[in-house]
Amino acid sequence: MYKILICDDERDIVSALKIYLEAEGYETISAYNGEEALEIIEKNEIHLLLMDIMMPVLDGISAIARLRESSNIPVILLTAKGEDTDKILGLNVGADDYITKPFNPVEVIARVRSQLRRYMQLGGNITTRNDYVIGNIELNDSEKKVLVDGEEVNLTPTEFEILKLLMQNAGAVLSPKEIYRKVWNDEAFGAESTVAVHIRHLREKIEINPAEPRYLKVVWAHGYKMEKGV
Amino acid sequence: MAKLRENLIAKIVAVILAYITVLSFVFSAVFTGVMGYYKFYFSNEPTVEKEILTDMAKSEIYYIDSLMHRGTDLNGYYADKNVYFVVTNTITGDVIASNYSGEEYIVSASEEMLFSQWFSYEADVEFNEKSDKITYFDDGFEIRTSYNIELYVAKKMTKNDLFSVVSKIVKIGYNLRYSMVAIMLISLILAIAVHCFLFCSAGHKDGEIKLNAIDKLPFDVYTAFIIAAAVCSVIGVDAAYNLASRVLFIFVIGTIDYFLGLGYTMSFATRMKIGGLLKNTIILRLLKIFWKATKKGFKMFKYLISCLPTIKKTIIGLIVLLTLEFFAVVFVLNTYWAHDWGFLLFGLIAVNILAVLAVLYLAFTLQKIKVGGEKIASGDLEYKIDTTNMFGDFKDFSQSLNNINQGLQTAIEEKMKSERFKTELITNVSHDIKTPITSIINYVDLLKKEDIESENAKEYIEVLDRQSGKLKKLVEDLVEASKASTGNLSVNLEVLDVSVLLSQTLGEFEDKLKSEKLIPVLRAEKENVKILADGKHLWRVFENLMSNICKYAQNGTRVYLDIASKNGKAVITFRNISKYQLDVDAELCERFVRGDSSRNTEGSGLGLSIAKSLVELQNGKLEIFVDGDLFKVRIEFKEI
Repeated sequence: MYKILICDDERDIVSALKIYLEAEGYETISAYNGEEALEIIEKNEIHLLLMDIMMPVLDGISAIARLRESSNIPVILLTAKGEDTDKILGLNVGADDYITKPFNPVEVIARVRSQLRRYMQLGGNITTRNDYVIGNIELNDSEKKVLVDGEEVNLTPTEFEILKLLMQNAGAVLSPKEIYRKVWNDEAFGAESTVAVHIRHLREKIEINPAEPRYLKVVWAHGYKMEKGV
Repeated sequence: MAKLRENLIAKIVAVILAYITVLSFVFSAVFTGVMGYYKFYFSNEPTVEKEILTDMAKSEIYYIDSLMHRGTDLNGYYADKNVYFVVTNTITGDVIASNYSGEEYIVSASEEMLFSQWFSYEADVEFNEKSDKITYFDDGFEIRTSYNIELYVAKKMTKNDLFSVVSKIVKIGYNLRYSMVAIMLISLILAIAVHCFLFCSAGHKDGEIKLNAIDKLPFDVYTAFIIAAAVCSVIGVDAAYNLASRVLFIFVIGTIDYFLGLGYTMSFATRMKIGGLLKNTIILRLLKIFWKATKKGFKMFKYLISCLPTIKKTIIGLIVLLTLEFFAVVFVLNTYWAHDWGFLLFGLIAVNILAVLAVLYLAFTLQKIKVGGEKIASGDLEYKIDTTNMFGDFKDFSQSLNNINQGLQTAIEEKMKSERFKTELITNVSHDIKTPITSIINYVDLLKKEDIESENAKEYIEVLDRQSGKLKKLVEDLVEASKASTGNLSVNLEVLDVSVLLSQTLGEFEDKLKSEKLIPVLRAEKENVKILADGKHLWRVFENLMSNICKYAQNGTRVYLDIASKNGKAVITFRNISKYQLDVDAELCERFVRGDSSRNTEGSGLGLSIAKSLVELQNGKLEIFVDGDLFKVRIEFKEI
């Protein structure tokens, strides 16, 4: 079974996370600051690290920086800081994902699972079968199938077409009008909100937290885009 | 010497000595002078005696003349004198009077006298020097002839008179003529020494320098008194009718004057030692008082001027200028320059050029103040009006403006500081709140999953779940509201298509609208309305407004979203029918204010406040209108 190290100075949060993760069948170890976490990782075989940023003795960011010198296990940051700059800093230092406090337990489990799958399966055999892969999302055009974290999700044909279009043009912003024209093969006369509705549904299906999408992003007043390098 | 300086007796002795030495110097000097005049030092005694006696004889002739006119008996008068006389009519050659009978004489003198000499002051007399007659014009005065007076001084002076005394004195003086010089020099040296001592010791008393009653007298008054005394002395001496009384007068008055002068100079010496010679003068005191009064008067005048408003001052200034010009013209016209128009014209032009320069200066100053005022009004708090080269009202005014600016700057800085502090506080506190909220939410969630029999417990857990979710939202909104209202957010303005954003927004809210049975109606008056704004922030605005609509709009009604373009402005309106009765007076954009005062609905009450702040951060305008149950939000941006 996978071993997960939970590191937060708030003991109640650690034990709550422990309960959720153990209920999912993961083995957990607790640490209460960055220094402890690093020691445990050295001595034990850990598959994933869930860590807070603001901690005594050694903070999360510094701990990751040191961890990354020797290990490449997935790291998910738990942060009360809602600032974009903090998220970017965490990701740049070497974190794989982040969850903002107060978090939803379901989201935590989903992200943990997603990261573990990516880390353990390394995706080598998956890519060959699929036409488009971005992060944990795989799209197979011939079979009209979409896999998220290796699991198939049910998309309507329109949603599939929109996702394909966006994945084809990963990184580029497509306006609702363009999407409409290319997917419906028609001119959009005030039907842009239809696109928005479909996108939202699509987001709900492929994103762990649709309110904070990691792949399918809304560029407000311009359009939508698929993140390229996730 | 120091002890001697203190000694009163020494001083008195010194004063007496001083007087004596001065007296002896004056006498010896006068004698020496007189002897020098009569060549005592260059010729022998008989010659000197003769010369002096000749002089005396000459003046005696005039005396005889005066005696004759008074009608005195000459023979009787000269009976006991060592003088002989012969008076002769120059025309007839008759001897009028004589007591001379060929006696031996030392010196003789003769003078032709004119009768008129004695009476000329009584009438206008014109006489011919060549003629022997005197002509009277007005009345028939007797015509008299001129006469000649001869005088002989007897060689053997048997009688006791002025001539014999002088003769004796001359003899004594001649013998003493060198001793006199010696006496003069010695007494001069002594006098100087004694005076030096007196001036040095002046004021010394009981080991220090003290002013006595006289020294306290104002110096100028004292000086004036001394000068008056000197003038009186000269007049007094002049009034003496003959030599003897004149000598006596000179002696007495001179003595008095000497002591007065000594006192004065000693007092002067004391004052000089103490200092403040000029301070203790009436003139200086009067000058001081006068100066003070002038200064006070000037101050009063300045104050009066400052009390006048600027317009009045200007008018008064103009009136003064015009009056002066008028008087100048009148004056010039009344003088011999009147014919010289060039001069008048030149003066007027000069004055008016000065006036124009003054007005230009005022205009320049006003311009400076105006520019400063505009800068301040436009919010340039660093600006300072340069008050050098300004005076009076303008300077005061400029300084007031500068002070206002300073005050504003301070106030704004304070405000900014406190706002920053507030935001920081809210951010920190909410961060600290987030951690316990995380625990609460998680454990409530865990509780929910437990097998709980009691229905009540399940209900309570439901409440906990709902309320903790609300708390979480509230904290997030609070941070955002404080950031938005203080402008503590980064704003990236870019060109946005409003209709795209609105359709995206509607897409996001489709489900919620449906569940509330609200029908959105999006109407764009014009395609592609572009504005300059930050997409993320504007989305937050629309999100807040839409979630408000979802919460508060009456189910089953339409929600109108309009995009219009008016006078270069992009106007976005959200309209809906409210579920609850709206409190019209409530300022819905204020933080924590809601349309329903009961506060029993969901929402933090921060939504509109955040929306308004965010719109303003992007240089837009958000207004709320309530008309009955119609709730309308109007957002205005500059269209591009």
